[in-house]
Parts: sequence; C-alpha cells; structure tokens
Amino acid sequence: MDIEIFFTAIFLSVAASISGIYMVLSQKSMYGDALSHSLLPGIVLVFLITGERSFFGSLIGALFTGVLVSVLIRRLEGIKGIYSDAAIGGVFVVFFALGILLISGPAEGVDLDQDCVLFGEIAFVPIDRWTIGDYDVGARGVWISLFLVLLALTFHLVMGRVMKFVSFNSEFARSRGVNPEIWNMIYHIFISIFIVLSFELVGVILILSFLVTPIAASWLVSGNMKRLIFLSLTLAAASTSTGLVAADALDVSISGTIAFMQGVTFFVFLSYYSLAKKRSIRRLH
Amino acid sequence: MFQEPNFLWVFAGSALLAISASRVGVFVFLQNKSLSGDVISHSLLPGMVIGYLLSGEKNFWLLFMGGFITGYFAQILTEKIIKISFLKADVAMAVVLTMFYGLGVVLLTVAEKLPYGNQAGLSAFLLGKAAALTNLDVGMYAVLTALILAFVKWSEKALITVSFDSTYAKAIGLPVGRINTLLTSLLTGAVVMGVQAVGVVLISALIILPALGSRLISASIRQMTSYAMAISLLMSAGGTVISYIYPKMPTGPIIVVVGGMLLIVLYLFRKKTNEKYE
Repeated sequence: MDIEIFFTAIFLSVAASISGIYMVLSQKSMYGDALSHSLLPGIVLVFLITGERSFFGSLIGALFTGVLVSVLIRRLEGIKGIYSDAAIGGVFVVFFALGILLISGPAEGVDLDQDCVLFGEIAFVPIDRWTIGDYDVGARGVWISLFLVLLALTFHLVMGRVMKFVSFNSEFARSRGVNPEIWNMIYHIFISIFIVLSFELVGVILILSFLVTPIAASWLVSGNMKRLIFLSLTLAAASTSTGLVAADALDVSISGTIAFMQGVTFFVFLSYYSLAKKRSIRRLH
Repeated sequence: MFQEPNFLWVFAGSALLAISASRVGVFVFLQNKSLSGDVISHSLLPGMVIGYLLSGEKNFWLLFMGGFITGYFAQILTEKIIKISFLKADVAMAVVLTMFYGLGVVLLTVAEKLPYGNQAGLSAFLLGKAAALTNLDVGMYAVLTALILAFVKWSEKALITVSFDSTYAKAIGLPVGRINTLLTSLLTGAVVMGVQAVGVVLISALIILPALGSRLISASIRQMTSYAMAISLLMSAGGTVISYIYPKMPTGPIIVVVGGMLLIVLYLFRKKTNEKYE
C-alpha cells in the first residue's frame, strides 16, 4: 500500500472527527450531506469566472455557497409547515443539479465530473504531486489533509468552548447573549471549507462518513466530551487503517471500503450499547 | 417537437416518475422524513450491483429487486438505530447512507473487474440516463406507477391520519406500524424506479420539491396532493422541453433546476396566512 494514501486517509479521518463533532451533537448531521453536495456550483462558478481551478478560488466558492445554502435552509425552515428535512433536501438537490448543469454545459473544461464528486478516488492521491521549484515535496493530498488537521485543531481550540455551548443548548446560549445563528453560520463556513478542500481526495460520501460515523459511534459509549473526542479519533484512525488494509488485500475501491468499515464499527458499538442497556435494566429489576 | 417519438418517450417516462414520486413524497414530507428518500437512493446501490452480478446483465427487474431490498433494509436499519439508542434521525441517516453507499462502491469495483462485457455502463446507469428512456422503460414505469398510485389510493385515509398524528392513529386502532411499512415500501419503489432515470442524488428532488412547493401554497391535504402533482408535471415537462431544445444539457438536472425555479416563484406567492400563527 502506498504510504501517501495511508497518511492522507488517516489525516483526513482525524481532522474530520475533530470537525464534525458539533454537527453530530447539534443533530444536524445531514447538513454535512447538504453542504457537500451544494458546493459543486460554487466551485464551478469560480472556475468559470477565473478560468482555472485554484486553492483560493475553491475557498471563496466554498465560503460563498456555504453561507448561501445555510441562509436558504434557515429561511425555508422558518416558514410554518416546512420541516427541516424538506428544507435541507430541497436546497441541496437544486444546487447539485445546478452544478451538474454547469459542468455539462458552460464549464465543460473543468476537470470534475459527477462520478468523481460522488465516489472520489483516493488511489489517485500519489499522482498529484506538489513541487516547489523543481523539488518534489510529496503528494498534494497529504499536505492538504495535514493542513486540514491543523485547521480543525485551531478551530477546536479557538471556538470549541462557544461551539459546545451553542450545540448543546442553543436556547441557553441565546439567553447568555451568544447568538447561535452566527456561530452556526461560522461553523457551516468552516465545514464548507473542509469539504471543498477534501472532497476530490475521497469523494463527498466518504467525507460525510468521516464527519459523522466515528463520532456517532463513540457518542453511544462516552459520557463526556473529552472521552468522546479521544474515542472518536481512535475509532476514525482504526477503521480507516483496517479499511485501507482490506481494500488493498481485496483490490477494491479504497473510499468505499473505508466508508463501509466505519459503518461496521458503528454497528459494533451500537450492539454493545444496546447489550449494556439491557444489562443495566436487568440489574435494576 | 411533439411528433418526435423520442421526445414523447422521455416526457412520458419522466412524467410517470414525477407523478409517483410526488404522490408518495407528500406523505413522506408530512412525516418529516423527506431525507429518507436520499438515504434509500444511496443505499440501493449495493443491491443493484448484486442484482447485476447475479445476472450479468442490466435486467430492469433484477436491478429493481436488488435495489429495493437493500434500500428497504437501509430504511429499517435507520429506524432501528433511532429506536434502540438516543441518536436522532439525522445521525442514523448519515451513518446508514454512507455505509451502504460505501459497500455499493466496493461491489461496483468488483463488478468492473469481471470478464463480461457491458459493465462499463453501470456507473453511468446509476447516475441517470433520462434522455435515453425508451418505450420499454416507459412501459415498466407505467406498470409501477399504476401500482404505487393504486396502493396510495387504497390506503390514503390511513396514510393521512398516520402522517398528521400517529399517536391519534394508534389510539383509534389503526395499524400504524403496517401503514408505515407500506409507506416505506412505496417510497423505496418510487426511488428505485426513478434512480435509473435521474441518478442517485436527483431522485430525491422528485420526492422533496413537489411536496415542498405545494406546502407553500396549499391549505389542505387535498390541495397539497393535487398541487404537488401539478408541480411535478410542470417540472418534468419543463425539463424535457428545455433539454430537447439544448440537447447538450442532461435532462435530469434540468428537471430539478426547473423545480428549483418553481420553488422560488411559489415562495414569493406563498400563502402568508399560514404563517400568521407562528
């Protein structure tokens, strides 16, 4: 197995389990799905305007679409009779369709396709090199995912306290003069940046799995935030490495195998949780 | 354009899909489960690939059955997670969706390595091919749509009661569990049928957008159902006409974007009286 693929996957999974935690805790996991699909038109539009795909162009596209999508979803949710599920789904499918239209029409030259956005292929990571001058410093994917780890850590250290506050009890936060909407918006921008930098490496579905599954699994068995974070980091790294090894042995899609392994890990924890619950009920009687 | 047989088949096919999806979508919307269409559409990938692996060809009914089984199973798993743990629907959906889709992608790479011929088209097949609908597809869609509409008609009263107030439905002795099973099967059927035409992501649009749009302007369930049907027909008509005029544009995404524009219009003309009680 290629060592660069290994590091990209591990870094990404670690960065995602630090980043996704507030999304899971505030019961907005499907926002990750929505944001990841909606970013497509933003990226393509920036490509159309600037004529190339660049790091900062993608960031600006992500920023803009992330804000727009969260505002639209909030707007729709605010109408009486419209449920959050429908609002989230309604917005992201239209954005995604717009992105596909742009790709197949005006922005034909952009090297992105529906396949690549949905599936991603981490096996291509070693091909895309990052060179400074003539010197090859490694695969671009490794550096991007390492950067994402640092970004996630910074976000966690700087905004962790207030985000915890907002995602556990937004009413209480509001009563203490913290506006949850602004913080959620900042968080959505952060997630959008995360997704836009990583989706080409592994595909949006695996990103969603990285952002949600290990955290959900460890939430089942941990009583406080610290343990939750440590356990989810461990789980993310463990299921990613087993997924990588399995994919290597069977010679199948790496992204798919990792996503599946994460799910299996979750269900192992769920059965442990349900057994423990049953046992504790029996003990009570 | 209207003499063109190909245009008519594409229009008929997408209209049938849109009608059945919107009919089921209204009830799904009322239960705040709109995103489960998305979960199902991603989760049927492994089943469809298994159906393909078993037969070695793209047989509509085998793929349909395979997709139906895993899509339905995914929905059951999602509900199970919500039932036995404190996790909410959003987490359960994200976990199940990514797991099944991951498995599907793995199986897809297995299928691509097999010796028999036309597997290359399989992923394209799963991303939608609305512009290539043939009279055969349309025939099968017609059968399935008739089935779905008949089931909805047959259980409409119960579905409405359960969707609005399941506690009340239970209290008056309706078999809530069985009715929900029926709704899940209908939803899965509509999704599996549509996914081959418009693709994994955009089939959710046919479920969600008509119900969402009609909710903005309707005051009763009867109105909501008929408006949703009208919106879905407008979407598919607009989409097929535009993609006929600009053949480079894929039909599925255009249908969805037309739906998005309709949504904006309906948002501007929404019934403000509904909001007064907020």
